[in-house]
Amino acid sequence: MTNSQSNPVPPVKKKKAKGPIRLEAVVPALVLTALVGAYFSFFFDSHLRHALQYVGTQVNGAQVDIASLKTSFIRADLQIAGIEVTDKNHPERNLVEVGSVRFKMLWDALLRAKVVVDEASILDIQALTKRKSPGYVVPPPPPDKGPSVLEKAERQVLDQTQKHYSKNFLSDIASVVGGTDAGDQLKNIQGNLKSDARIKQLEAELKTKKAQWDQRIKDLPQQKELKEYEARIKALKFDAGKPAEFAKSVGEADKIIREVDQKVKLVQQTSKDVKGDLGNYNQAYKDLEKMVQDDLKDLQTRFKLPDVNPKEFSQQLFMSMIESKIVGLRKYIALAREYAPPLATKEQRLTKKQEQIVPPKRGDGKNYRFPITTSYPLFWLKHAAISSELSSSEYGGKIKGEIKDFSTSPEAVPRPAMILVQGDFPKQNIFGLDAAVTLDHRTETAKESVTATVAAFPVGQTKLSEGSDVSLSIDQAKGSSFMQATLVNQELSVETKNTFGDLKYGLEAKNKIVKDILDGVLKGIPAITVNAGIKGSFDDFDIHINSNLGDELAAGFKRVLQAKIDEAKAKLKKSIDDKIGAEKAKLKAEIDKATGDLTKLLDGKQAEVDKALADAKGGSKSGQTPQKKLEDEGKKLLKKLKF
Amino acid sequence: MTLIFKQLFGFLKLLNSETGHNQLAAGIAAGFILGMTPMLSLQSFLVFLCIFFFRIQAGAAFLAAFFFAFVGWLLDPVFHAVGSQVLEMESLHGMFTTMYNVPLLPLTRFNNSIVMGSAVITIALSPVMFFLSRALILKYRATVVARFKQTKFWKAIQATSFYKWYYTYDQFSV
Repeated sequence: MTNSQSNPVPPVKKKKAKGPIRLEAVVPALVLTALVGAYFSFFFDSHLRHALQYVGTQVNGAQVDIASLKTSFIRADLQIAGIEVTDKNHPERNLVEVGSVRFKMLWDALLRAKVVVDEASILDIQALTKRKSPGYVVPPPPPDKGPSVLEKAERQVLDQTQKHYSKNFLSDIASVVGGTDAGDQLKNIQGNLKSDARIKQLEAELKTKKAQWDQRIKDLPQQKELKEYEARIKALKFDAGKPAEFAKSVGEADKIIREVDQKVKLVQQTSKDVKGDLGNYNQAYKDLEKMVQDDLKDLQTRFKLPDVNPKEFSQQLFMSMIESKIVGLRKYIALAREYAPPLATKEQRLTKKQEQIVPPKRGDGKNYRFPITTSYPLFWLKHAAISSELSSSEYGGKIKGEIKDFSTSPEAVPRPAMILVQGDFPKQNIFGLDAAVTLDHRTETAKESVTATVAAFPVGQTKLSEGSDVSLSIDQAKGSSFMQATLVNQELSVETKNTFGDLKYGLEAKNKIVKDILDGVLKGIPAITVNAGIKGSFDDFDIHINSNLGDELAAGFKRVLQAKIDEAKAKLKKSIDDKIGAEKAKLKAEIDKATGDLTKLLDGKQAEVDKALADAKGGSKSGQTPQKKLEDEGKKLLKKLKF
Repeated sequence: MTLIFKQLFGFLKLLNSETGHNQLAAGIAAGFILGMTPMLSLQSFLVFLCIFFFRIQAGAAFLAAFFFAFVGWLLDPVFHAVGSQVLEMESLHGMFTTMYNVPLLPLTRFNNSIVMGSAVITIALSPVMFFLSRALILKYRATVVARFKQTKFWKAIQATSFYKWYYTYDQFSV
């Protein structure tokens, strides 16, 4: 009782002693682990499949289906079966259908947060198969992000190639054969002539310069000024008997000589500058002739006057065909360099380092590096086998190939990335496809090479020239093609050889002469060869295309056309001369006049100051200088004193 | 934030109670390792796991980590010197090379001189820290807490109904 009164605190219950392990944390952690395990066992594959379908659909722009997906945590592998990629332009069919894909990864790499696909297989690839039901097509996004990498790559090539050809080249030829009448157009050419603009510019410049020259000539010593010097010189007296006066005269003579010398230098400098300017204008006038030639070339292009030579014919007819190959090549290289970038150069590495400014929170210490015996890039596909057997699909083929050593960090992989594909598509009449692509991005110098051969393939309708007067196409043919391309850094080299046999042409021409020529040439060619060589960079490359069709067409048209083209060129030249002739002659006259007048004036001025200088130095009629006179007088004096 | 405050109140309560001195000492030793070692290393994560799964007083650990982080910052030159010595030892070069090429271990950043130096020093000193803090806690309870409990102020507090209510609540809530 006394206890309860003195201490109101209720008696403390003795708590059960707790062990060192925090069971209230361990149990939930175990439950959570079990739940995660259950999720990965029962639901993860399904969720991953849906996620891949969604991402694939967004990337492809049309529905992507995956029939089944299995992952194994223990084996670190992924198996996907029944991939169908809808063709967004034809949703009722698949662009590609893949039977199964298997990726076997390395746990050793996964523990280092890297993905190394040790062995992969992509089997039963089929193209353009029919879908059971049309696939969903993603609505196109609003065009607000500017050109993509691929669009930029395509534009880069097209900017180069489209300068070199016109799709209606043969129509231009036909119009020349039929006779050109560009009278009205020629009347309005003056405003567009570069030479005309240059003449006007030179005239304006010359006017300004003339004012400057006049001012400079005015600043030169005038006759009156020179006479004053002469008078001052004559006023000097060199009398040896009066040494003080003699010395004063000598000093004054020196002063006059220096002043005249300054004037001489001024005249020389002015003469040099003005004559230099005149020389520039004379040269500019001579350069006008080159500009006239450029104008002539521009007009020739504008009036579609073709050059009748085999190279031009080959280039005009087959450039579009070669263009598509270069565009394809450029796109793949752009992609390869984006996703498997070559080793950065020293400058790039330095710039990147400078960009990464991370303030240290604690002392940074020193990171010791030990020899790396095992390392992996972030992603490395070591080997993937590709295969496809002939199926019922119209576009099915028998393909065998390999993909080797694709990586996001090529410098960490001992071999260059390679794609090797061989196969036939019998239903498409494509035989002997053999392609080898090598991407060596392991060093600062990126090297890509492609060697591809197709022994036989059908050629569908291919437009060679399309215009209102003439349209020429290959409607049907059997082709074979070989291409070897290398790109070392930015240096491109492509060689391609193509042959087209069993030819069927599509020819329409309004002009009978043109039709006869084309008919005659085409009948005489059983097979067309098109060889092309490309050198340079993607920004600036030279293309040389030669084709037996170009040679024969050039020879066929030359007989009829050359005289007419020469006549038309002469007309253009004359029209240019007529338009700018008067202005040109006026400019010439102005330059000549300025040259003549100024040269005469400056030479005269030069002679005057030279004379004034000579007079000043002469000092007397005997032609002796004051110094010389003083010396002689001194000698005489010494002689008298018998020294 | 609530969790941290709860842990800190728990620490104060336990410190002033008559039990749990081992939990508190272990917490201080763990906080010593956490605070001295630069963050974002695998060993820090392991210490966190230990705090989570073993009955180590988390409030004591966080408080100690906060305090020792400042001390660690001052001692970085010492850690750097010790870590450099260890990492440059020829006899250990082979072992470090193996560790450098084994999965996960490089995540400990053992190849950094400060991480290595702080790890060597803190792991070596953590038992000392455990026993030292344990002794200090017991001493604190025997002197400061016992004397405080004898004060009139504390006795007056104990006599209030609020204290009784809180005491009862505390008994049920634990």
